[in-house]
Parts: sequence; structure tokens; C-alpha cells
Amino acid sequence: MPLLLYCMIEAELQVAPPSQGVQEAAVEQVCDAGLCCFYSHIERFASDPASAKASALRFHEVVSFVFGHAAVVPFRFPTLVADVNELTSHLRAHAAEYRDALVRLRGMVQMEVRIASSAPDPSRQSGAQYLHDRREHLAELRNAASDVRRTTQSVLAGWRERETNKGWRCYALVGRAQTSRFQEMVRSLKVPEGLLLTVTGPWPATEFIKSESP
Amino acid sequence: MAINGKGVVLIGGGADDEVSLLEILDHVLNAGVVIHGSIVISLGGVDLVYLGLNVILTSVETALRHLNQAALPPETPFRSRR
Repeated sequence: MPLLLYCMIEAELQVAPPSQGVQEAAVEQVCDAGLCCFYSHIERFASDPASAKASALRFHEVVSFVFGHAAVVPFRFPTLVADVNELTSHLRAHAAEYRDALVRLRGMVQMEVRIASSAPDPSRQSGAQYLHDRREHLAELRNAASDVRRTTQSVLAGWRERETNKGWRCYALVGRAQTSRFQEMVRSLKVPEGLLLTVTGPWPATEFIKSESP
Repeated sequence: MAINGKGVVLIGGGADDEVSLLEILDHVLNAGVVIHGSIVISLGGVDLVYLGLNVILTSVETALRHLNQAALPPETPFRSRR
């Protein structure tokens, strides 16, 4: 029977997961290669929109519960493997990478800031005008991201940012005890007219699982 | 959800409003480790391999990011390791 994977933690940590997970299936765990992984046996994955949404939310609840007690490396929903052997093979193959991430992320959470502009889309009157408008638009978002980073610098353990189709997205790695402080710091910013900053979190630090590129 | 009136919105991690719900779905579908497994599951009566389902359930934003990373030459330092 296939396994739906939730997340991994360091094997030394003792975290009892919720008894039931997606589709009311029991949440089980297997520990190997210094990692403990939480999963459920899913006989038939219900993929109609309503069931998939309910399953995704239940998945989030399980991961959030574990994340409330320890740093986690979550799997993307829905990650399915054939059986425990396939899971343990994967854990062994990637154990060093996952353990390294879990050690680095101990006591850390990810806060996110999405920066969007209410300015009209770049003009399409001409190619040159479009590129000019787009450059200015991106500069505005980038400057706002820099302001957020500078303002929150004292609580940051890591920072990543990138452009998305919904604006500029910033990922801040902060200590668990610093999330309120981070929110207050962002809230204190003077946001330029026409920009909206949306702060969410705390989330598992998925953007920081891979160590910084050299 | 709290708005400070100066262009900053704070959203918690709970599923108590529609915005938070969308944020949660965005995270569970787009963030986390991906295993390129070989499981075949059925969606609407059609068998799909896991990778296919993953692509379907992944946002366009993430799919484009992965496609762009895959298109980078091997020596590029930002190439995805998985």
C-alpha cells in the first residue's frame, strides 16, 4: 500500500505525531539513517477537488503539529512512495543533506513577506517602453525588499528573495522566539504608496533546506 | 489577519480565513522535498505517474522556476541539486 509522506525530523528527537492524518489514516513513523519520517498508508488517494483540499489541509495540520515541537523537513503534498523500503532507501541516500539541514534549522522558522504593487501593468505601447516600465517596477519591489531586510536585520539568521508572478517574495529565517518581533519590525516600516506587504508565517524553513550557494 | 493601515498585512498560520487557507495550500503544494518516485495513482479514472500528478498540483510559478533551473547549463552554480 502506498505511503503518503509528511515530514522528517532528527531521529534523536521524540515527537509523538497526531494519531490520524490524511484520509483518517494512522500517522506512523520510521527511523533510519539518523532521521525519523512520518507517513500514512493511503490505500486510494482521493483526488477530487474537495477531498484533495481536505487532505492538503490535514497534511498541513500534521506537519504543523510536528513543526511545533521540532525543526522539520516537509515533503511536498502529495508525495507518495511505494512502501517503507522505498522510503528508507530515499532517507539513506539523502541522509547527510537532510541531517545537515535539520541541524542548521534547529530552533528556526521561516517568515515570508510578499511585496505587491498596485501600479498598472507595464505599458505595452512599445517594447522599449515596456522594458523601461518593467525595470522601474522591479526596482520599486527590490527596494522595498531591501528595506524589509535592513529593518529586520537584527533578527535575521538567513534571507532569500526572488521575483514571482505575484510580486516580490522574501524569505526570512528567524528564531522561533523572534516571529512577533519580526512582524512588529515589518509593521513599523513606512511602505511607499501603491505597495502592499503581506507577512505570513511561521512556516517550516523550506527555502533554507539547501545551504547557501557559494 | 491584521492590516496596519500603512500597507502591511499580517497573516497567521491558521486556516481561519480564506487568505490563510490559500497561503496554506500554496505552501503544502509548492514547498518541501520532492521525491521522483514511481508510484502510479488514478486521477479521474486515468492512471498518472507520481511526477505527472506533482506537476499538475504544482503552481505555474513553481513549475516555471523548476523548468528554468533545469534549463540552466550544468556549470551554473544556481542549478537545482535535485
